[in-house]
Amino acid sequence: MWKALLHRLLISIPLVVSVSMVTFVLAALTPGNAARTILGLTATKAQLNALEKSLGLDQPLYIQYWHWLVGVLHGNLGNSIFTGEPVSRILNAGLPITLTLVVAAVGGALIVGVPLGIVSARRSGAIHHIVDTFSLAGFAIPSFWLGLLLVVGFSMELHWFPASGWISPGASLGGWLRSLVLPVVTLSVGGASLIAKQTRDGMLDVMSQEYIRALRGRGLLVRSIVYKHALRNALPNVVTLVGLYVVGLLLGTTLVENVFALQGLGSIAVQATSQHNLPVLEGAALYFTLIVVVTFTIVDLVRLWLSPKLRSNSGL
Amino acid sequence: MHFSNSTSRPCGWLRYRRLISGASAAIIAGTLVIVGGVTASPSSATNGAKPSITISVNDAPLSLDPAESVNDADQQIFNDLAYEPLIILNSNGDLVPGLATSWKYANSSDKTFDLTLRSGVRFSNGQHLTAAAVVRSINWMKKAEGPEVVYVNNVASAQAIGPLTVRLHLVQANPVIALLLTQRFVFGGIIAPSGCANPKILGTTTEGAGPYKLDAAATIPGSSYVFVPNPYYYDKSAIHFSTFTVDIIANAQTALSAVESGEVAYADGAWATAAAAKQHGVAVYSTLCGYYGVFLLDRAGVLVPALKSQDVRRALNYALNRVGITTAVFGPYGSPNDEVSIPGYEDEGYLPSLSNYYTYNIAKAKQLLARAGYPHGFTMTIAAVASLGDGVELAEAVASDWAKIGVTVDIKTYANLSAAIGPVVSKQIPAFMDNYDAQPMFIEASQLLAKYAGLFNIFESTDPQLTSLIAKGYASTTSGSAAVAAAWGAVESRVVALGWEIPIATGADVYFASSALKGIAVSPTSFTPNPEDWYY
Amino acid sequence: MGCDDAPASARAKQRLWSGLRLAREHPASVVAAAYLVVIGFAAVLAPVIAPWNPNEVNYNSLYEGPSAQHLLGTDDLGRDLLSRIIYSGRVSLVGVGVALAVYLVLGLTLGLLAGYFGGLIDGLVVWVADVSFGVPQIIVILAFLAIFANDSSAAMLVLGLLGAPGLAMLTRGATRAVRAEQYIAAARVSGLRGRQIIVRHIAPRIAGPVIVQTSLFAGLALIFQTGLDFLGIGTQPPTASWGAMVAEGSVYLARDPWMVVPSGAVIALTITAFGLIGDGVRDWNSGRTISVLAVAASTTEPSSTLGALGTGEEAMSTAKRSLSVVDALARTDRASVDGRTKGSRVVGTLLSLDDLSIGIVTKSGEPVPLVDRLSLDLNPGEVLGVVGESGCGKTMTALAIMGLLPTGVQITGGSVTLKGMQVQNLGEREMRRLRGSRMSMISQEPVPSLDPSFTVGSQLTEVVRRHLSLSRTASRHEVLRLLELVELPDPRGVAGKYPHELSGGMAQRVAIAAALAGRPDLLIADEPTTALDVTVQAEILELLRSLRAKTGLGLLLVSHDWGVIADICDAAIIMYAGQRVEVGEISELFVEPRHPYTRGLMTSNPYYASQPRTPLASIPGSVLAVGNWPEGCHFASRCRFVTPECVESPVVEETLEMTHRVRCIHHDALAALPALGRSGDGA
Repeated sequence: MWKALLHRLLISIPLVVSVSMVTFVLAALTPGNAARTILGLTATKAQLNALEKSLGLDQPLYIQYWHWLVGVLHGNLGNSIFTGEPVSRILNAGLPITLTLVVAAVGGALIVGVPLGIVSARRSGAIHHIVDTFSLAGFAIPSFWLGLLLVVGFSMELHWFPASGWISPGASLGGWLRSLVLPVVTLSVGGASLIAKQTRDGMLDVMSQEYIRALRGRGLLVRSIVYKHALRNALPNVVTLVGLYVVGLLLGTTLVENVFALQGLGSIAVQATSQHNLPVLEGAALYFTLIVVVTFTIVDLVRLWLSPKLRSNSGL
Repeated sequence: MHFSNSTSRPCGWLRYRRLISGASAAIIAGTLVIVGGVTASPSSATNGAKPSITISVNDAPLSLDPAESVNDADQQIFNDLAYEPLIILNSNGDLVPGLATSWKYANSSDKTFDLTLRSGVRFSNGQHLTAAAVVRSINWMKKAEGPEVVYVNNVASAQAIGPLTVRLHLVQANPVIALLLTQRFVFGGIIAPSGCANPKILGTTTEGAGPYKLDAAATIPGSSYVFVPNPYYYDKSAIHFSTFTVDIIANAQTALSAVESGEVAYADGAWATAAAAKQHGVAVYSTLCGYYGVFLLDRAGVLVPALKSQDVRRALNYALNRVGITTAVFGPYGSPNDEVSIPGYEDEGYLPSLSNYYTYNIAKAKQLLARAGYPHGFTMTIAAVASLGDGVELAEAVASDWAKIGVTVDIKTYANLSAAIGPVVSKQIPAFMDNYDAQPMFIEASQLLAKYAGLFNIFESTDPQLTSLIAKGYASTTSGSAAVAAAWGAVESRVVALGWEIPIATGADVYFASSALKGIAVSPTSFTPNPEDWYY
Repeated sequence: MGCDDAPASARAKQRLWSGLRLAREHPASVVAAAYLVVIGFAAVLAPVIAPWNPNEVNYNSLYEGPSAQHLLGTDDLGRDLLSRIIYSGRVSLVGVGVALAVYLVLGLTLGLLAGYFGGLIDGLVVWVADVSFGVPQIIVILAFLAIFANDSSAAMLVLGLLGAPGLAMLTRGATRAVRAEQYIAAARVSGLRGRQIIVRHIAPRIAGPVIVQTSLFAGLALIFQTGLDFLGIGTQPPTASWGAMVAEGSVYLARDPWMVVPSGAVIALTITAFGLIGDGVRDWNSGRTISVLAVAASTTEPSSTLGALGTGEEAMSTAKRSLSVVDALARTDRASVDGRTKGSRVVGTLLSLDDLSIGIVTKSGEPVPLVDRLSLDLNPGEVLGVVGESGCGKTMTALAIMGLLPTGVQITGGSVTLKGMQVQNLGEREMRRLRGSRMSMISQEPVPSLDPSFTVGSQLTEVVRRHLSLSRTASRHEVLRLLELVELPDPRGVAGKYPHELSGGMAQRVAIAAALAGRPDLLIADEPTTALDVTVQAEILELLRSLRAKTGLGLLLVSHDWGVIADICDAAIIMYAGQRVEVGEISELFVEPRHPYTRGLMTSNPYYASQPRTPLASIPGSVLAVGNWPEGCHFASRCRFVTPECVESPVVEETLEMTHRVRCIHHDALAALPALGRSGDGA
């Protein structure tokens, strides 16, 4: 297990560094000058220079990046250009929203996708086509479009769920859950279809293995064979897929947050992009990458737990 | 025994699995509740009996710092809640006491203006309102040089002549200084001394003397701003809500849905959906307030040489199908206009005779273009801010019209105002689509037409004739209303003839609100609702 | 040989036919491809085919639904939606194209280089790919858009860059697999250069998976492209784009809900088309591979030497075991040899097969036979061998008895009787009750016959508790007892191990323990020692023998290895091409084989090689492919005793002695041959 964690760490550090460096360099090269924007119209050259110096904008890029990195390690991500607010505070406000969406979407996708995949693996015929169609539809329908359609149907027509906004669970648990339904359904449709397909393919693959026939030969019940043995062996690949799905959800949540007016990390990042709010954009890149790193680490650990072979390969 | 933990009784393992998933769900839910509770709603309600209210606006403020704010309807709501102005412009358009209880010109030159402050007023941080504090706030506004600095620059200097008496020395004879000191023009909202001393905090907290103050802990910048009553406010009975939350919902449709479902009590409206809103039982408030158009910046021809030519600008005006656009985009909420003023401001220069100066005439437009040396047209960029209502849509309509005379328009959209300010200020934009709230020409001239107007004249273009006519306009302020109307009318004529801007139509501001919310009122002179007046 | 001698035109015709067949079998993919072609052409020819100027504002026809003039309606400025959608295609397809170009060029190049050359390049590519899988693409693209504001194509380029490592890994894997194959080595030896190898051999093999992966990536690229436009940071108005059209429509939902529908639908349909093409290519690719394998399996049987047994080492081991035949012959009084298996149906017969036929179900209705009227009898406590080479149907027979035939294979005739009860027609539920408790099976590969995710102990416990109602503690004791029964030295240690931690021999013992957990009367062993080391083989056979002695179970031992058969079988049946050609006691078969095939098998045993440096005797020719069996003797084509009567009509089995039967009309000729012995010649 430690070997796996070490491996994940060795991959993650270059990941975080490269993403943040790329983001830093790109955003720093943007046209438009932060100092100018802050000081306004009639700033004199002297004033601009002074402000640039105080913001550290006059130094070479790699020094600026280094300062930023050191700051990050101390928990300081700088301040927003416009409001002066600490970037970490801005992002921490958006983090719960995005995390909720991601976790709920993964949960929804698993809850729907795995049973669907199992059923489809056990039966043939119509259910196969249904799963295939569902799988394709989930992949093909853009999340922002689906979200809008759900809003038209369930919010504007039926008034079952709100069309937008985030009600914090502290204020109203019921309201919070209601405000989550449409965004989470939008996001998990895609994941459910992927997971159903992977579960089915994985189960079918496992079911064609020698030991399944041997288990049948020993007279075990179907229920045992399918749910205990086959599923257990098919799950590691499903878990890997969940990891990749989470990476895809970073785009998905950005789009869905826009549709439902949720101020999650994605919305913050998009706004920072159009405002050239460099510190916020870098901070968002860091947060996104950390989410990915944590997810992949969890995926690795779960896979190790599920599969004894992986465990011994990794030296546990 | 070291067997692995498997129960091979057929039912056992299923039970086990359900337990695991149930436990996991509970743990996840619990974690989310705890995490979400971190961002829980404010608990600092001072009076449990008062209701809460949540409203929405289209665009987040550039900064909560009034000195950095842009004077648009959305921003004004934030300033209204937290920063009480010296003089209040009420919804009828009357000037009533705010932080100042009385005011007058000190002498007949109208260049000196005295205000007497209300006594016993304290800012939300507990500091006292004094003449010195007012002076300090005004000085800070001048020093900060924010986007609307042109307003505060009507004041040459401020002086405390008594503990509660302020004297303003004006740059010139100014008939509208009282209006300028209202919430409409920002600098009348006084910032507490500690805010002026440490202006960095003004980006994220409020330091005013208004009925509410920002609850920074509960606020999610860019998404949801929570205000709670100012414990030091001088008239507690005027505070109607225990919390006042302002959410940002950029999409007009989403905002309307939020009003319909009751999630918000008020939202910025839209012309296209006003009829549907009414059908769904939403109260619709509207008032004519200004005009929309393409505001040219690069009259100097730096980015788009063609714009230097008066013929070209006139051609652009002729090529606009104002009637078509107005019908399509504004519906009943606008009418064609080609002046930089609107009906109702006749004594400020609006000339009904000019209202159809540029009748739709493609042939004439092409002719003018050819005469100016652009027979095949040219390309230009127009910036539009997506969150400011229908700016993008209007830009597309304009682009379509101008395509017919060979002028290709590249539209550059910005998600919100704060994204657009930078490029405008750094002279990268030749023109932008905007709406301009009508105001006395005395003010408009400095903000729109003057060489150092700032945002609206970033390239500092001038026209000698226009400059002298504006000077005459200022000079006329002491000569009676007929003279004022005539002088500013002359300015208006010159502006229109120059093709200085390309107005499209007068437009009304539209607001959607729950029918239960009372106290909302708007009028042409006070077209932004005053949230402090609302109640259930 | 890979050369194709057919003339070019025939090859082209072949391709056309396979293309048409492809179209018929995968209609969805063809429709999808056609759709993409239409969209592509529409985008290119937009100025020609779009009915309206996409940016032309029509103040008089706002918010219209579909009509004759505007097939998909109009938007808030009266612009024709269909025209806008057609023009938008340019934007989106160009964007996807940019992403795909970068993806393919970079991914394929890196993958081929890494897979073909290995070493440092490979290591670098793998490392980069590992890191890149975690990159949150959206944030990097946003950063890019912060500098190349609104440049949708730049964003797509970045997406292609970020996705390329994924394709590189796929390409690398396929390249490595192909490179490792022998014909590549042969190609290199014969002088083909790397590039030629790549183009001629590697490229066609990886084309399928690459196309599948690329189609998925195309879908992803389109989602990104339209998503960026939807967020307003991609394509700018007035240029129409699908994503921006959805965003525009979203503002006017109350007034005109229809506006969002066409643009979103087009996006969904286009991505669907990408996905269907990928699906189609994958199905076509895997279908093709399967049929290739099937053909290969049935036609490339080596000539029937001991080559069927594998390497020379195994041949020697067989030789060694043949020695024990002599010993076995000496041991004439084996207690367990009673109740000969031969039609003399002793009351209490454990297992009887009567004219059992098994076949592959075909669409045309006529099943392809795998086993043709096989009969055998096994009595309790007896060991019966089933001998034959690969493809003769012996494994299918074993599976049929257990009711575990694979899909598509069925019992087409005859009966299977277990302890007096006919089981060939029983449903799955009844069979399940029998399996493990009445009859069990162990197979060739012991480690794969155990679930890799559970410990030995847990798997055994599961079987024990299934068949015996024991408490948890009692079943744990029973598991340990079973492990001791199969002579594992450290039962507790083994119980805690996972299958991949076991050696082959240990795993087979565990498998035997699992098979015996339910105390069955019949154990079917399908090549139980083939995959094991030489010494371990002997141990396992010894174990089976002692188990038979201890428990009295009947053992049906399927093998191609004479040594194994001779070691513990009392009697054996010889199968060739689905038929039983001879049956008898072991001594009879070894000393006096009366079927040419049996004799041929015996004599091709190197043990009997008479003179050094003479070629090993072998049976000429090769096994008939399944489905090609003649009416007459199946062995006729390879038999040196063949006469015209052999092939005229089906050969009936003749009884030579009570326990010895043979299916050959020339068995007398064999009787005349010298008995097999150390000095016998290879005839």
